[in-house]
Amino acid sequence: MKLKKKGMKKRSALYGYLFTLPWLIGFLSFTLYPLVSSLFMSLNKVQITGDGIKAKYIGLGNIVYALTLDFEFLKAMVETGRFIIVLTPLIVIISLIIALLLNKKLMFRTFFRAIYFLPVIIISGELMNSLKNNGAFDIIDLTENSVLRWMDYSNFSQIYLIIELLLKNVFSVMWFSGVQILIYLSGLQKLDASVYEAAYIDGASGWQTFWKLTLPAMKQFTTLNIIYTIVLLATFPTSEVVAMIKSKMFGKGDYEGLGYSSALAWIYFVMIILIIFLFLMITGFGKERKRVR
Amino acid sequence: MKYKKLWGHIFAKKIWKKRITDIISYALLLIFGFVFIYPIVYMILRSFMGQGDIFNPFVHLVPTKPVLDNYKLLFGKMNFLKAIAQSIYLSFTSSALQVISCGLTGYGLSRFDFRLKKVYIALIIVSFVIPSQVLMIPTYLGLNELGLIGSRLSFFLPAVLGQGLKSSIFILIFYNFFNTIPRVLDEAAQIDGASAWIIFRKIAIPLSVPAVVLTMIFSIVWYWNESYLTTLYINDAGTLPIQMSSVLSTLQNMANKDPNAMQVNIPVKMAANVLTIIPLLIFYTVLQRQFIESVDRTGITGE
Repeated sequence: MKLKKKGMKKRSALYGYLFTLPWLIGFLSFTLYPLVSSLFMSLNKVQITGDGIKAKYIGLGNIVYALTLDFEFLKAMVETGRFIIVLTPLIVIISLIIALLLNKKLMFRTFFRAIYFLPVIIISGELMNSLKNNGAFDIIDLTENSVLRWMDYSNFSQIYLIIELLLKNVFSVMWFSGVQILIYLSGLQKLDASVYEAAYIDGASGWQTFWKLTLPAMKQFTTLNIIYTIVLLATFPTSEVVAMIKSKMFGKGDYEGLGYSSALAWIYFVMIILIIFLFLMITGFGKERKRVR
Repeated sequence: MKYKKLWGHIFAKKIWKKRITDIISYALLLIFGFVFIYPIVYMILRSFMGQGDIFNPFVHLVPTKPVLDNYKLLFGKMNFLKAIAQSIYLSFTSSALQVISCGLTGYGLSRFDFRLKKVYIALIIVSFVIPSQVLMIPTYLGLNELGLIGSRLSFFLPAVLGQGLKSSIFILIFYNFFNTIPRVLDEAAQIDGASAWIIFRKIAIPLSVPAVVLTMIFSIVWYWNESYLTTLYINDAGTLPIQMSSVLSTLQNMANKDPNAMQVNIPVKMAANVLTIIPLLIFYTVLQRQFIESVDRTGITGE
């Protein structure tokens, strides 16, 4: 009996490896190898010549140059970083609100859902750029008000920049919230109705149940959504850094080409990871585990 | 007495409270919905504007005399149906391959226990965070080595190996979905002597229709809209978005040389946008109900 069980376990493991084999091959060849290879390339000066690819080891040269002297890149990095940090909370909060609304038993629910998922279907780099540059998102210009102008002239210019960024993009970033709404909706559908009934009987208001029941239950989905949003915004083709990495790939200049582009991509990657950690720290991911202990 | 009771009922605090929150909910849904839909309406209306309306300061959204000039201009410069066919070929094939490989992987992770399972799941999650910009240069060189640059295989090969666009998400969706299917079904079939492959084919695949629909739609749409990697790996893929932007730049060049030619103004650009997304809009309208149903049934995320 024991032997048979052991055999079954072995067979189960074998099937597990078999089913995931295509993925493993793909992971090794299209994720792990490129990852290591691009790290190696970022330490080299790589040029495509007539007789193949030539790599010359220059250590941290690319990275040091990018971080100290490539002002164009640094400016794009700061702008993209600020964009992600300012707009991620906005997107996540909006998608939670919309998901809460869509989760209610209201009339025309299907209709509203169809509207909110529409951008997910059509959004692309070109479309976003074209719509943004041609005024399709300028529903109202929120930046034209006296409070903001006063901030601009007084000493709050840093805060002004952040608020201006927020107000300028408040309409266009909503289009990035479709998948997050879906994630929140599926989370909300898993909530236990009996807990809410109990809270209702005990006289808790809707406001209280939201803060004490819904929000804590949504914690893992919030974490997921924050990570998803950051990655989405960071890799979207409208990001300046993303465009720069591609445009420098085949350059012939001193600080251009495959090696330098790889270095830029890696710096960008590290920045994205840091932003993700920053947000996870703020939202207190992992605190719960400590409490259990 | 009776009336008083009814009156009291109408004015009962709780009902009013509910009514007010309902009204607020509808108002918010409408406001957000307006913001979501405005750019699309703007795009469609603008695309019908003629030369007269562009410079008319009184015309904001609705064209006074809708014209088809912008569309005619674009149709004259491209083979629209061929571009659609190219887009469909690339996105549907990639998506089918991606869904198959992600489904297999998700099933393998959900149904069988093996030592590296947790490592695999961790790697799948980590690979979601790696931006494609980091991977694309060596991938480009590797595909070049294999002679696949310029060929659609440069999209199909990663897709069939579970490394297509955002594959991690699809694997995790399938993983969570298969976790919700009770294992008792498998065990019953196992006792009847079915092999793992038969169980997968006869039980898992028929049950996984909602997950397949959901991932298929997302995958097709993301492949359709992708042109950052398409222009790099396939170059002249001739897909609709790529064709459209090349048509726009040809028109721009012509307008720069010849002042009498039609300018590439906002209405022309918006017409180009409308033409690019129209197949997606049709696709979405047709599958909309299945999409929302499968979202409900798949639950997308798990514990």
